[in-house]
Amino acid sequence: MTTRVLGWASLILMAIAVYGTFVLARPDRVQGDAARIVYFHVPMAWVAFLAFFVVFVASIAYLRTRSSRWDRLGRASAEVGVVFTTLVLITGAIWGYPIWGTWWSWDPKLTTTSILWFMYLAYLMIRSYAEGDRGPTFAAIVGIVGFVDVPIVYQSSVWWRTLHPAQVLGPEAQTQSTDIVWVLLLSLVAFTTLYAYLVRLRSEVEMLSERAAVAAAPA
Amino acid sequence: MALGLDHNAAFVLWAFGITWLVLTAYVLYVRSRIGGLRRRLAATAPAGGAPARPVTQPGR
Repeated sequence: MTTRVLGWASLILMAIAVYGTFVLARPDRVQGDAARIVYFHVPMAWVAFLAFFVVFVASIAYLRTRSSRWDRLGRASAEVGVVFTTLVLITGAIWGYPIWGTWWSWDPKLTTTSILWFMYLAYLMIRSYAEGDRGPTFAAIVGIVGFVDVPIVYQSSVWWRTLHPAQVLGPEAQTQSTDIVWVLLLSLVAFTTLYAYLVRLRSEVEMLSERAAVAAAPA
Repeated sequence: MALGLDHNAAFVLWAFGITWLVLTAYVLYVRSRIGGLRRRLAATAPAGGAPARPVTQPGR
C-alpha cells in the first residue's frame, strides 16, 4: 500500500517538476536553455548523496545488529544511488558539451563524483559475489568508508578551483533568483519521493529473494 | 524550437529523455523481478499458502 502510494505520488510530483522545468522556469541569461538541466541534474545528485547516507547508516546498523533488514536496506539504497549517480554523470556530460565544449573534464567535482560511483559499484559487487556472511560484512565496511567521498564531492566546488558551477543551494550557495530556487526545490521533492519508491521496490526484491532461498532449501 | 527553447534545447531534451528512459527501465526491471519472485514463491508453497518448512517429529 505504501509502495503504491509512493509510486503514484512520485509520478504526479515528477509531472509537476517537468512542467516547472520546461514552462515555469526562465532560461539563464548566459547559458540559455541549457541551464534547465540543473532542475534534474542537481536533484539527482542530492538524491544520490541521500542514498549513500542511507547506505552509511544501514551499514553501521548492520555491523552492530547483524540484522538482515539493514543489509537489505543498504543494498537497495546503494543500487538506487548508483543509478542516480550514473544519471548525474551522464546529464552533467550532456550539459558540459555546449557550455564547456567538452563532454568530460578532470575537474574536481567530476573526478570525485566518478570515484563515488566506482566505490558504490564496488559495494554492489562485493555484496553480490562474496560468499556467506562475508558479503554483507565487507559491503557494509565499503558503505561506511565510501561515504567519506560524499562531503568531498559536495564541497569540491568550494575547496578547489573548478569549472563546475558553484553550489546552487546550501550554506556556500551564491544568491539565486526565487524562481530557480522554487523549481529546484519542487524537483528535489519529486526525485526524493521517487527515490523512496525505488528503495521500497528494491528492498522487496531482497526480501522475496531471501524467502525464495529458504523455500528452495532442502528440508 | 519546440516549447520556445533555444539552440541548446536538443541537449536539455536528450538529457531529460535519457533520464526518463533509464528510470522507467529500472522501475520496470525491478517490478518484473518482484513478479518473478512472487511466482516462484507461489509455485513452491503448498496448498494453503505458507511455504514448506522442515517438519520434525518427536522421538525420531
